[in-house]
Amino acid sequence: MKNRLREERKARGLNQSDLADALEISRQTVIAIEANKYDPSLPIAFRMAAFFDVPVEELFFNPWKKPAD
Amino acid sequence: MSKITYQTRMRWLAVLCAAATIIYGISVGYLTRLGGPGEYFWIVFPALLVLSLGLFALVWQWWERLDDVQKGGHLTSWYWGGCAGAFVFIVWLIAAREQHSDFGLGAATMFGIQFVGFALVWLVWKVRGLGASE
Repeated sequence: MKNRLREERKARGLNQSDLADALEISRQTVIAIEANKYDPSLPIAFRMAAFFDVPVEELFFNPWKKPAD
Repeated sequence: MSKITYQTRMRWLAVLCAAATIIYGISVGYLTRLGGPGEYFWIVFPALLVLSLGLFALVWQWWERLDDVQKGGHLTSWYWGGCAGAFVFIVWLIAAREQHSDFGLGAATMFGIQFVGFALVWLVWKVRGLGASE
């Protein structure tokens, strides 16, 4: 799932390890999600969105959402 | 004093689990060599049960703290990797040895028991997920 995780993390001056520790997830998970290799679970997605204080759909792009006319 | 990070905690838990597994293996080896087969059953069986439950409880601490993506990785690897490995081994066993050799029966029994464990846990998972059907 495409996302803006890397951009949001870098905008706050965090490295992947900092973010992993802040969210209590593994660094490999941060790397995999940033690289669009694995999708986060819903709880992880919401935790990330809450951490960056953005709506979850601003962080993870919904591929099924119809584009606005 | 610096805070112990999530990753450090997980690393230490993994090391602790690995060390406990080695100690468990040595203990099982020692206990199963006590006397002849079944001689100290009521000492060996409860002791092995307590040791096994202790190890499960410790590994559970690690598992509960793993994030969902890592859990998914372990579950997929365990299920598909474990099943594929077991199938290949049993097929080899049937081809290379007599079908009803002690070795083959032992492997088949182990595979069968694993399936029973899988079915029980899956049933619990299924029941836990029941909700109102509308």
